[in-house]
Amino acid sequence: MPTSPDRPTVAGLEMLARAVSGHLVCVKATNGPDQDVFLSGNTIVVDEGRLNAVTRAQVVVQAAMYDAGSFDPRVLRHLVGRSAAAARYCAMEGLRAMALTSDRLPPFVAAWAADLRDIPTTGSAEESMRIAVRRPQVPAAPEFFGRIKPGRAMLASARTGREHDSDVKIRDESGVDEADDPDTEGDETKSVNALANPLGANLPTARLWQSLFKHSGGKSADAGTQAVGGKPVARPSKRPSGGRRLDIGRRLAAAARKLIAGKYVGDARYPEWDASSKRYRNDWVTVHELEPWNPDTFRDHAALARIDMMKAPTALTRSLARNVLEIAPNGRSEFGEQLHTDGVVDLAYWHRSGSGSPPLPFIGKKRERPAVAALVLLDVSSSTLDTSAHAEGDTGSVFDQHLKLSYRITTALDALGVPVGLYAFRSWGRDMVHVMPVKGLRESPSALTIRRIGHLSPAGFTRTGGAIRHCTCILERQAEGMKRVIILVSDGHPYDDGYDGAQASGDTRHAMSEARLRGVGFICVGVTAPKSQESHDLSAALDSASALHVANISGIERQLGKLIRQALADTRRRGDHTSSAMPA
Amino acid sequence: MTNNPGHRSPEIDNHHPTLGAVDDYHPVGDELDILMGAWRARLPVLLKGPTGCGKTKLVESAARRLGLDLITVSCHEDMLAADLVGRYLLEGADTVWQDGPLTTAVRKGAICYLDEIVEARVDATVVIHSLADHRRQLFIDRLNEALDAPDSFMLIVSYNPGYQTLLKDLKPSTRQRFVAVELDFAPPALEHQIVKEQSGASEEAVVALIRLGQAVRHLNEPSMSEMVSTRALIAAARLHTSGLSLKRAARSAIAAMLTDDATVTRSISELIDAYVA
Repeated sequence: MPTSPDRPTVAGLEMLARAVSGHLVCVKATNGPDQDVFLSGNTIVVDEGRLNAVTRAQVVVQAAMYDAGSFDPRVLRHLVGRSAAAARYCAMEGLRAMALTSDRLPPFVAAWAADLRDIPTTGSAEESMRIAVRRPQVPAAPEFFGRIKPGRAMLASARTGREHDSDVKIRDESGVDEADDPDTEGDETKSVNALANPLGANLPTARLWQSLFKHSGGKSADAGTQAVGGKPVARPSKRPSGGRRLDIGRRLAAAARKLIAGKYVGDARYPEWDASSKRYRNDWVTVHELEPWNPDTFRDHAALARIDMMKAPTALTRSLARNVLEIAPNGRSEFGEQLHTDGVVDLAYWHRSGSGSPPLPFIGKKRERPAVAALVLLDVSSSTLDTSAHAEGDTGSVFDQHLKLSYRITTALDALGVPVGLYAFRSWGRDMVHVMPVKGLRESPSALTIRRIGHLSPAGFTRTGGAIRHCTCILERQAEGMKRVIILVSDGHPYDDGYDGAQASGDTRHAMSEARLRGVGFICVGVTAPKSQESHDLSAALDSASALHVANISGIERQLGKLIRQALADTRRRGDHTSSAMPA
Repeated sequence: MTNNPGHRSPEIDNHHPTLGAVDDYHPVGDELDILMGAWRARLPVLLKGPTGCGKTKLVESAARRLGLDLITVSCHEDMLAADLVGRYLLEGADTVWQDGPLTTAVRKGAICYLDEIVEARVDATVVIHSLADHRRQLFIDRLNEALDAPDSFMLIVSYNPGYQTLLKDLKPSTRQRFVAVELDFAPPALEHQIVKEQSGASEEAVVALIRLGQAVRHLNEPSMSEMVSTRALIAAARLHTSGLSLKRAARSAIAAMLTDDATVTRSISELIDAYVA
């Protein structure tokens, strides 16, 4: 396949970034006035008009720094507004990151880096930051390192939920260095101002937050903790009690307000059904695919084992095997309906030779791995914090039970040979629908899967339609030619900013219909939380044929196989749908 | 042990009486020591590791060092117990028994290597049970004959846990009979030495390929079911040595083999552009 060595594409740069960093790093091309290459969240921003070999090197260094932890908000906050110090920090961190990734660094980048002799060697991001702040004589990063924009990185950490639980302490060096550096980035300075201001009630964005949270089912809501993926809103007692950390949370929340107002252009855009005008709003919802990350509430293997998540789902596997696996010819059998030609010949030999055990003359049959792919989509919005208790002992929050159910379904289907992915989702308005891959369709359940699950915690809201459309695309892309099904594990209560009542249920129904028309079956399961929602919400948003909400996990597991079989049967064959019913 | 006068040894392509004088296997850890120790203790060995990491090379090396014949069987979905043990064939008006590769290995006291054992049918995996425990005996039901394995006989099986599932997994009763040796790709420095030795490619080309291999192994790309193996890197280096440009060699031996997704293939080609001048 011809490619131009001097003209990389965004897709090629993205693969390069992922290869160097080993993480889900994205590359986005912009054509704005800013021609720098820099990292924001997990996205490396490049200039669309300047894609060349230097860009390739810049992407490599930025990706290496991402892997080396150079964008830790605890460190970067000391560099906000100090562009010269940030450039020095970038130089030292670039060098350190390249040393850490030397085994996979492209040779041409390694050769360029070999000429850099004046940059001090450091052992950590903190050390680089301290030297960058104190020693102005350290040279700035060369062009092929790209840039570090601390303010942008801080903003993005708010968006991705990468919160810092302890701050790096340094002596205030503002008197030593260029605190009033006239060369600080304009956007960053504004962002710093936003970070410096607590949540202001009169700001338009603050009003937006208030409008977001005042409908959250009667729960109190702290925008800051929500936006950074910190402590869940329904547990105010567990929030930080005050001091510096809460202050940072508020500042990051203010930064997230800017994002919600629409400044951030995300990874994928989808339409949404407008129930009032009976038509689609094109490019209405922005979905970001992000790695699960929340060290504040991280639960390790032992903690997850305490909610019985690790128990082998033997009965569920058996039940799914009965309903999902297909019966296919398999070798020979002693009994059967069809004769096996070789078996009959062998039988004739046996009759003549008369030794050993008789050959098997019939065609055998066994259940085989089906051509089915599944995607389990877990609702991790704050509404799943409600608790549920019943006779079988599956007590705890609806979230924990849904987590357990999702993982059991995933491992059971995986054990049967079904390519199955596990994704989680939540939202903060139409511009921030987060879809978090926990396990890809081709991955096996592993320690990495458990670690990602450990980072999941309930927060935010439920814009179900956007998440379903995104997962439909994932299945279309990664499971072409197979029967496909989305298993939504949710309380079935779609709700978000401008997304409730008839609008939410209408869009969810449309997203389900679109999935089916595209050859993707759809079911929704979940445990019933006694106080979480009214029954009419469920019936309005989901049609009864595809939804099952009962009081316990075992009840769902008993019927899941039938539901999947029914969903696959309901799905029209690919190409049967009429495009007029679909959004562009 | 009994011998049937109607027996004849099969001609097996991968049956090498001598495996060459030079041993080109480079141990990554203590896998060779474990293998030799298992042979001395008359224990069967299960090799686990990704495709192309050197499982077959390891077994060949062990056979060479022990001075034993090696019989390799690549297992597949249609493989029956008879394919391993043997069967009667028609010859004129008579039936003649032909040993399968497992029976041949037992009779000769050779090493029998069952590659990707989980691919075989269950009856084929169960037939090795009596050979893999303290009995070290192969029962041939059609001959009503029990063959005792000589001390030199060794059974080695391999499988790639990366893409196996419950439907394609070893039964616990089979697995528990083996001692396991886990293999992985060699670290970059050793892999560099291996690729260079086995391809004769230039230092610069090998450095580029090794870094490319490391980078691709760090990718978490869903459409790629396999990672770039040491074998693929050697193939690319050999293609380059035979006259192709390194870029074309890498595209043929690595990019095109990893995925069928055209978009991903193109992106990997660009990755090659970044690593190969």
